[in-house]
Amino acid sequence: MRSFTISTLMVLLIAACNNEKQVQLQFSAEVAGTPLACDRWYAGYDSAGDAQIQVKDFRFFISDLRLINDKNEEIPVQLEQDSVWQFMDIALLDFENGQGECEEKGTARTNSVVRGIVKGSNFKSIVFKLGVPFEWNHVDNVAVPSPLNVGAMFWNWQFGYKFARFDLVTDREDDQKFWFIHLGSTGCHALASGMAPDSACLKTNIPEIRIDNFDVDKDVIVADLGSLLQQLKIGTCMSGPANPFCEELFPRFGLSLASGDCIDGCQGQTLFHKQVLTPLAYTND
Amino acid sequence: MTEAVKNLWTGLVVICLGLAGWVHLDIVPFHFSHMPAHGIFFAVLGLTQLIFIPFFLFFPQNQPIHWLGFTLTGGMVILWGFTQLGVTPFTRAAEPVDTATIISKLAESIGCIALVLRYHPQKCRALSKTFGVSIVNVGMVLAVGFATEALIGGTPGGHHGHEALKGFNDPQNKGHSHTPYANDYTADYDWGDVWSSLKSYLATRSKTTYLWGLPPGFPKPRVPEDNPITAEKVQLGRHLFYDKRLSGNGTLSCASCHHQDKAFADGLERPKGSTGMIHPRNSLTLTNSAYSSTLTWANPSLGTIEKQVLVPMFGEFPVELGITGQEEKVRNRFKNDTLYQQLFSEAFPSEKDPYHFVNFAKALASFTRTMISGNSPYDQYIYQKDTAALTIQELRGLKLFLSEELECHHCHGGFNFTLSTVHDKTVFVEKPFHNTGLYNLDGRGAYPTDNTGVFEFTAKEKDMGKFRAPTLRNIALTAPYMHDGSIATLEEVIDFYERGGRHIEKGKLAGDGKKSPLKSGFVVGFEITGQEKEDLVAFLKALTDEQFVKDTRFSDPFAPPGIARK
Ligand code: HEC
Ligand code: HEC
Repeated sequence: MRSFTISTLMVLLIAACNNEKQVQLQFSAEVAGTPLACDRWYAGYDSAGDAQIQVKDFRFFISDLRLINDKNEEIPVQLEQDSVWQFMDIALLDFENGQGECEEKGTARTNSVVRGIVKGSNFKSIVFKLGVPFEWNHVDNVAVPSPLNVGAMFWNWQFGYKFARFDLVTDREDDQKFWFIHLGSTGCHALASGMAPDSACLKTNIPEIRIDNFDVDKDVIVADLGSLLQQLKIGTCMSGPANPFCEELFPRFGLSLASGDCIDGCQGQTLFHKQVLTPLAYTND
Repeated sequence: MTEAVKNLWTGLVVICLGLAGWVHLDIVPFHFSHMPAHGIFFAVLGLTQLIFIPFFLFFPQNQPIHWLGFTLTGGMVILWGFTQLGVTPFTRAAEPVDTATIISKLAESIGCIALVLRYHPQKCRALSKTFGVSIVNVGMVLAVGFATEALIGGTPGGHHGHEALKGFNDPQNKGHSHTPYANDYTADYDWGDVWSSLKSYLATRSKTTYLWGLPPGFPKPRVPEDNPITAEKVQLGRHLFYDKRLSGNGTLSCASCHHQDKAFADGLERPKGSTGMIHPRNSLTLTNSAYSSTLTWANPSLGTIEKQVLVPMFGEFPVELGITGQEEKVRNRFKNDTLYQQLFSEAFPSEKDPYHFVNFAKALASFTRTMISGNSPYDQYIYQKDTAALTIQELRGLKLFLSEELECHHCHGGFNFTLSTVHDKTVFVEKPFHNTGLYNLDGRGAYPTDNTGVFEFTAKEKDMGKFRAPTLRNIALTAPYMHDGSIATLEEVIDFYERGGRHIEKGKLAGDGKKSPLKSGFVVGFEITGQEKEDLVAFLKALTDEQFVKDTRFSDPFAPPGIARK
């Protein structure tokens, strides 16, 4: 709280001097319009249409946040550095509260706001990446500040981060009981597993999300698990390059599973949309 | 302005500063008691305000002295304003407005105005300048405050940090905690207490800051504020750890269940306490306990080793060391021993009677905290970049271990091979517990009644059979495995994960853990070849740190040099 107040004051001070504006971008998480919560069942989001799902984890990183003004200029948003939810140009959004099903991996605190300052005005679109940039994706995660040292978001498999961690549990038995979705870079070549890759990963898997007609003050960015999963077969996808479930799922992040890049500027993504701000469902503590 | 009016203003400045200085000195002990740095801050402020007065009188026209004057009056009012926002290094919440606040802030405000009226014809400009300079000064004061906090420490959040000693409220020990950090927020704390605390603080400080000598790639462990680690406490802890006199009947020491050659586990399924009672759980390795976000197999509320070690000392179900009921006897054994008199007085130099169990726990915890292991072939390969340290087979095993098919890393991930990890930079303390499907007695996931995991503490159905994933470092040395020692070898552990749960066909414990509804989604089973299994085992064995189990810093101090004692 203390450091938060100080940094807010400093940001205000800097903003006052520079024609810079403080922005607080609101996010929310929903399942087809219903707020997402750890202790609730949601029905009808798989291909069979009759499975119930419950959320075990719902966290994701965004980075490289920009606003686009009426002259079509991209203006980067400088994130406030709180080393809790935000570090460098990376922010963690966290919609699980460590209760109910989320207890196994979760933490109590949640976050739905990204804070920063931006120069100028008349913004009409917002662009951000769902993921962690390569420079920070493969660091020794105990040597970096929060949110990059959150253990559950580190992906030892590729020595990088899970950009998005959506863990679900269904009402099915056996192999359909758990439905884990972990998005992250794959094909990262390192001397050995457990080490940082020596060159860029084959598949970046970082979607760039663009939302037009976006009102910075009035709109909220909704991550809707319902529209991400609609009509999908239940099946864990941890970004495995040959995973049949990923094949189906990746286009909904706007990605090609084969190349790891955006298809058509990731326009086909179905996870995020905007909505006019309603009273906050989640707050930064 | 007539001379008389000038003198009136000067006099007012002097009186106001004197008053404010005196008030600040008066509140020093009180603030010192909750956080030394805060007390020191007020002491410095009060003294400066008083010492300023003669300078002001002797050099009435000196510019720097004027600015200092503004800072010590108006500047302090502004600083106080900041504290009302909650912005100080010492408190999270605003300080209450009490008589001391009112007197000192009024005095400072009047002093500031008097200073302007006396010396500055352009009143308005002087006032705004004062304001500017004061803001800069406030910034400096804050910086100094933070620096003091960093240097001197204390409970962060000061006024809210008095929980430090919770859990240590052993009636035997009431009134024995005289460290500057441990005292309650008491108004009757006086200058004598400040002085003795300061002395002891300086004594500890000048003695030793413990040098961790951490392995490459390892973060600094988190150390409780009320038990700063010193080499002396570690030494005392090491002696106590190996001393059987620490048990009620003198038959058992910590080392009886935590053997160094077994990475501080004991090789038994379940150990016996000093009175012969069998412990329901397997003795845990103490490897890297310093980094555990929760201690023991399944207790979500044990967050520090200090608290944990009280369990083997005083626990009655089961009895381990069995001190309960024998407290005086055990205390006196150490109190009357010259070796321990020296060790205790070095570890707790400020205390007249340091032989109370809070200190035993602090010393034992400090010693346990130093048992850091990070020099296995795996570490040599990954962190020390020795490419010859791991064989091809072990590397294949590592790859399997980190694969998404086996999913081991979801629970045993990170540098310490468990996600239940905390270190000095951690913001979000993760405390995961998992049901791995070892038992399923009733088809609904029940575990045997003496080992129900987190359920034992929460009595919630869903917590049945949930245990902490232990570190896998030195795992080859700590057989048998699992909370009850019910799996004998690493090969069998892998068979268990491969199947996705254990099937016990007959007897009291019969049931198929694979079918348990409470089992974690990360234990679903997989298929690997015999060769792959061997690779995985080879990798797990490469987590053994030979240096750790021979390190003389952790060995029995009573053993003749060169001879390991059992
Ligand atoms: C009777 C055997 C026994 C004795 C004696 C004993 N322990 Fe243990 N220790 C255990 C067992 C069993 C566990 C696991 C306890 C549980 O999960 O409930 C354990 C767990 C621990 C842990 C937790 C490790 C971790 O990382 O979670 C620490 C620390 C510890 N012991 C330290 C000590 C110290 C210090 C002493 C001496 C004061 C001591 N033990 C005496 C058997 C013993
Ligand atoms: C769902 C989380 C989870 C996953 C996945 C997992 N473990 Fe574990 N592991 C645990 C827990 C919890 C325990 C302790 C269980 C108990 O005692 O009841 C444990 C215990 C162990 C032990 C015994 C530790 C000891 O000191 O006795 C070994 C060895 C082990 N796991 C290896 C592995 C390997 C290898 C894999 C991958 C095949 C794996 N684990 C996957 C959570 C997990």
